[in-house]
Amino acid sequence: MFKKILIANRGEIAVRIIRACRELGISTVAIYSETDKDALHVKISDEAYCIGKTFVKDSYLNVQNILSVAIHAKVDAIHPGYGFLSENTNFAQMCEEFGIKFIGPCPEIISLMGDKSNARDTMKRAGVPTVPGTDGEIQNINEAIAIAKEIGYPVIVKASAGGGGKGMRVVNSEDELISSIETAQKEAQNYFGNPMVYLEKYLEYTRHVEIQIIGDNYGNVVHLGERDCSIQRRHQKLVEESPSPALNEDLRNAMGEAAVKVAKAVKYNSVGTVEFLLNEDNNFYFMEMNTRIQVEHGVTEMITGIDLMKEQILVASGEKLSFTQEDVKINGCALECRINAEDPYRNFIPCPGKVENYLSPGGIGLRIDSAVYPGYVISPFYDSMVSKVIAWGRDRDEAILRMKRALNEFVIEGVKTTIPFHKKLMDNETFRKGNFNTKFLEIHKIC
Amino acid sequence: MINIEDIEKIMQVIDKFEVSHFEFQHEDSKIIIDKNKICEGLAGTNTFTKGEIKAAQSKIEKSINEDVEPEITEKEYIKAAFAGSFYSSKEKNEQAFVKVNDEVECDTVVGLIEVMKLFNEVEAGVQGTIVDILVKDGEFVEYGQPLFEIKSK
Repeated sequence: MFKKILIANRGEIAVRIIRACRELGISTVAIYSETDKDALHVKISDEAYCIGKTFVKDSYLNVQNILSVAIHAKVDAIHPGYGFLSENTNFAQMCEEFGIKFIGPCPEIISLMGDKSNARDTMKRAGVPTVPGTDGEIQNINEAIAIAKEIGYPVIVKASAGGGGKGMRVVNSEDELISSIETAQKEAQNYFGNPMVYLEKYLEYTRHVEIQIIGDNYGNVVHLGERDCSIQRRHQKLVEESPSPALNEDLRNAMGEAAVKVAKAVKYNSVGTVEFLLNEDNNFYFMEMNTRIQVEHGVTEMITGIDLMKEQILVASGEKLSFTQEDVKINGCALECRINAEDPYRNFIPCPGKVENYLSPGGIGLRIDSAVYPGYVISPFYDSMVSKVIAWGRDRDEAILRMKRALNEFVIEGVKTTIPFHKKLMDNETFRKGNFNTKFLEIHKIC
Repeated sequence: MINIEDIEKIMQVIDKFEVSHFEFQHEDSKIIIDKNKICEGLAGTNTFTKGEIKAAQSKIEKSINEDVEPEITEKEYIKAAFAGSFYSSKEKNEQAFVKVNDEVECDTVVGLIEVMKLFNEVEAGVQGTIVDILVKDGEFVEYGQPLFEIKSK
């Protein structure tokens, strides 16, 4: 079992990791940028080291300084959290070289899943349904034209090394295809240093439904059900829930089994999420796989009672998964609202500043994950997350009711937050009915 | 649309973190803020009230009479630019790069910081005199940690 872990992250996820380590009796080492010297994760860790200036490239992406601290502090493992270095193959490899366990899958798997085109091919070979498209990257224009004709417009051109909605172009007809491919290639080269692109059918009216999986080093892989993350603004998730209002037991089993098949095929040995697109006919298609713990993992923890963070650490230390597929029981319904320091009445413009007053809600069925406290200054240099509010209920209606209570109790003064947006969303008829897809926020103006 | 309150708020935060160049884009609004710090000691643009001048005069008179040295307001430091192990000499058992009261130039090497087997030279960064050595040979230092106290010219 690990004796000491370095957390290569900040904010609420760093706090989450430290909490799990506390319960496991593992000593914690925090790293922080100069701006983050008063951050909560720094206050609650056992040791803390400043590793760079404000900007992310100088601090939280500063591999040299982070590994230097890790070696000096004699840590057994590094937990990369999400974002930052969590899916950085190079960093994972360097940890291995220095005899430090990287808490995540091995570098080869990160590399495989990180290349979107390769990931698609792997899925196809494993017999998992994928969005119709090219086999591998586009090698020549004629091939692209032929395939686009076959799968039918609209199609979407995507960067192989891509992510975050960049290097993508929706194409509505053949005359746009060639120029769209060229533009996407240029964008891909600029953002990711790799111009390779592939084609997929563009599915417009879909829900984003992802399956949480976890595997150990002994070939055991289990899925923990789904999360519906269709409430998105510009490809950023704002609300997540489990179970998905769109899934029945059969569909859940089919998607869960497909995700487990994928994981077993690549010998996946950590936590991960397989993202699918679900269309109106209830056909699901593999979209991509995230090889890290996710922001919304707490939603799954609330309905299964399983501590994913502790399990991830245990599995990384060589333990067998502490539960089997039969042990996983979905109980009730959980909803997460991401509260950001943004003004929903002014197009979600970021509102950094000093939090003068902070009083989080409480009571039955609520969980609040945050790194904010009264007097804390939310800086403009990192993400604008304030808090994750997760509400659990015996059914979806009760979960929504509890979320409303929580949002009404929550006091945050000094910065504008998206609480008003979430309050209004909870009252929205379409949302309450559960009939929505990823276009929901484009169609419905909440604030 | 970004308005004046937003700009005020951004400037407050920038001041707090001592940022000199800041760019921000949201939808179709863009702000670029470039702050050039005015060096302290350029008296040209400063104006004083009569009261302030009188107070300064009496302070100087007092110090001459009492033969008390005027207070040095701020200590200057050479700080670590890496997180790693600090070494005060090139090789073990060799003489240290600098000792107290040594005069240094901007590019004088005053120490080494080892980051994962790579040795990085620590330069003085300023012309002056070493006042104090704050770290031991072999000690692990954080980014930004003061290594030497220095009095610049």
